[in-house]
Formats: sequence, structure tokens, C-alpha cells
Amino acid sequence: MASSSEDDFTTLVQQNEGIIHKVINLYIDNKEDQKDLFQEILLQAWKSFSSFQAQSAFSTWLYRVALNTVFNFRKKQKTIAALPEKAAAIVKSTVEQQTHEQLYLEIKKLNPVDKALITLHLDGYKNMEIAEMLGMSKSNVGVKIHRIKNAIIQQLKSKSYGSV
Amino acid sequence: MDLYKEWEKIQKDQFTYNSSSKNEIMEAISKSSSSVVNELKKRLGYKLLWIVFFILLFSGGLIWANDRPQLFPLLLIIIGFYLLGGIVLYRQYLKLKPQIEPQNNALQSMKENQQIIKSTLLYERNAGFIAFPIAILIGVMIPFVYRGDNLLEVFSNPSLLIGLLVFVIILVPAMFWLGNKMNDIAFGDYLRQLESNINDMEALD
Repeated sequence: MASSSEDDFTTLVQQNEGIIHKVINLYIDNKEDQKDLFQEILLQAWKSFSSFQAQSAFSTWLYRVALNTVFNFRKKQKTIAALPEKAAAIVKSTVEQQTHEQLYLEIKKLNPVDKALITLHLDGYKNMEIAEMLGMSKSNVGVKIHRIKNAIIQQLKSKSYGSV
Repeated sequence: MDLYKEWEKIQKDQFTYNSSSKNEIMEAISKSSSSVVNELKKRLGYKLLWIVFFILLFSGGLIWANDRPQLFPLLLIIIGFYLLGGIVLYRQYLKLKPQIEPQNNALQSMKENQQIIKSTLLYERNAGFIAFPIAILIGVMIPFVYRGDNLLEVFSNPSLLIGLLVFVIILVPAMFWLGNKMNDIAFGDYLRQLESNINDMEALD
């Protein structure tokens, strides 16, 4: 029979599970690695659950656990250098690709850290929160996000001009 | 172009999932960690078990050779080396922290864990400079001591001394090579993955 702590944990995880799947899909393409990483994130979250003191939202805390786990993860297979599986399934010509599909591909191409920065930013986290989650300075976060956004927008514009 | 609106569309499009049941979550948290550091710690644990095995083996030798007390000092030296090595290794083992505490700096933790493993393997390698020649010497001495020969007479034989020297010159590098090879097999992949993970995170600075 599950203890109340386990009940609390499973309830919170179920309410915020989307965060885990988002992180996994952004960073890992291999299906087997995705399953392992999902289990590993849950395990790490459970082990640290006793130290969760509700000073931040559980979703923020879980995002941090998920990112830290990804950075510590041992991939069984190397990350596919070519387009990721899911993205490959929607590869169409540039003309047919919708903007959000192109944006997804651009984000997937980013290095792990830039990926974390831009997705946390797009998820609505403040620079201060992002800095805390990733162990960076707030000013550094601001500068990097600005650069990443500009680079992505440039890429998307060049693709849409190129398709004309 | 509104990146935030496009991001909303991505979330609906790309991040769909089947919700996990409570049982699935409970099953996940009951499994063992597959993190890089946890695997490294496991392998360090196996090394410890080998040390315990050899301590027991040579302690058993003490009992077996109870009618040859002249062997005791040699066996005790071997046991002493393993005990010392075991204590150092155990202290390093305890320092390893596979648990990722969200409030701690993940990069710092990873670097510390990497340093612990590397320094442990380095201690082992450096200890080999002393331990291997002594082990070979004791290995050569044991049959003579077992027979009750006078060691001073035995080792005053030049041809034996030359043979022993050649034996040490050949065997010590071979033992080093074998030790490094086995450590690379046991730890290499995981250390390289940890290094790669650290490099990824160092891009944060």
C-alpha cells in the first residue's frame, strides 16, 4: 500500500507529467533511451522529493530535475545526427512546412544548453527563474536568450524567403 | 513572427503523451538508477568486492599455513596492502554522489564525481608502483619460505637475483598494462560519457 508521500508524489507527477515528456522529446530521439530517461527522471525526482519544500512550484522543480537528469544521462545510442524521428516524420519541403514545424526543427538542432534556455523562456519562465534552474547568472541568461531568438528568427526568415 | 504562438502549436503537435498510471510511476521509482555516476559507483563497488575477496583468500592462507608460521609475515604484508587499498577505495566510494539534488549545482556535482573516480583510478595506478614489485617478490619468496630455506642464502644467489630482476622488469609493466586495460573496460565508456555530459553543461558558462 502506497504511503501518503508516494501518493502525493504520484499525484503531482501525473499533474505535471507533460514537462517530463517535453524535455525527453526535445533531447532524446531514440525510443529506448526515451523510456530509460523517463524512468530515470521519475527516480531522481522521487529521491529528491523529500527535499522539495514548495518554495517554488512543483512544475518548476520537476523541470529542473528533468534537465539535470538529461545532462547526466547515459545514452545507449548516440543521438541521431540527422533529423529526429518525430521531426523526420513531418519533413516536407520548406514550402509545405508550417512555421511551428520549422521552429521545432530549429530548436531541436540547438546544443543542449541553448535548447534548455529557449524552451524555458518560451514556457514563460522569467530570466531569474531560468538562471536559478540552470546555475547561470541572470544577465547571462538574458543575453543568451536574446541571441538564440535572433538566430532562430533569422533562420526561419531565410527559409521562408528561400521558399518563395 | 510570434515565437510564443508557434511554441503553443508545437506543444499541441509534438509533446503528446499517454498519461502514466500510479502503478507505472511506482514501478519506475522502484527500479535502480541508470545514471552514469550510478554505474560508475557500481563498478567501484565491484572493485571493493574483489578486494574483500582477496583479503579473505589470503586470510584463509594464514589458517591453511598455520604449521608454517614463517609464512605469516609475507601473507600479512599482502593482507595489509589489500586492507589499505580497500580503506582508501571505500572512502572514495562513499564520496560518490549519484543523486542529483535539484538545489545543487549539477555541473559542480558532475565534476566532483568525475574527479573522485579519476583520482581513485590514479591512486590504484600509483599504488601499483609499490605493490606490484613487492607482490612479485613475495610470490617468489613464498615457496622458499614454505620449504624452510634460509632466505639470505637464497637471495645471495646472483642468478636468482638476475632472474628476479628480469621477472620484475617484464611483469610489472605487463601488470600495469593489464590493470589499465581492465579499468578502461570497466570504467572507460562511462567516464567518457560523463566527460561529454560535463562538456555539454560547461557551455552554460
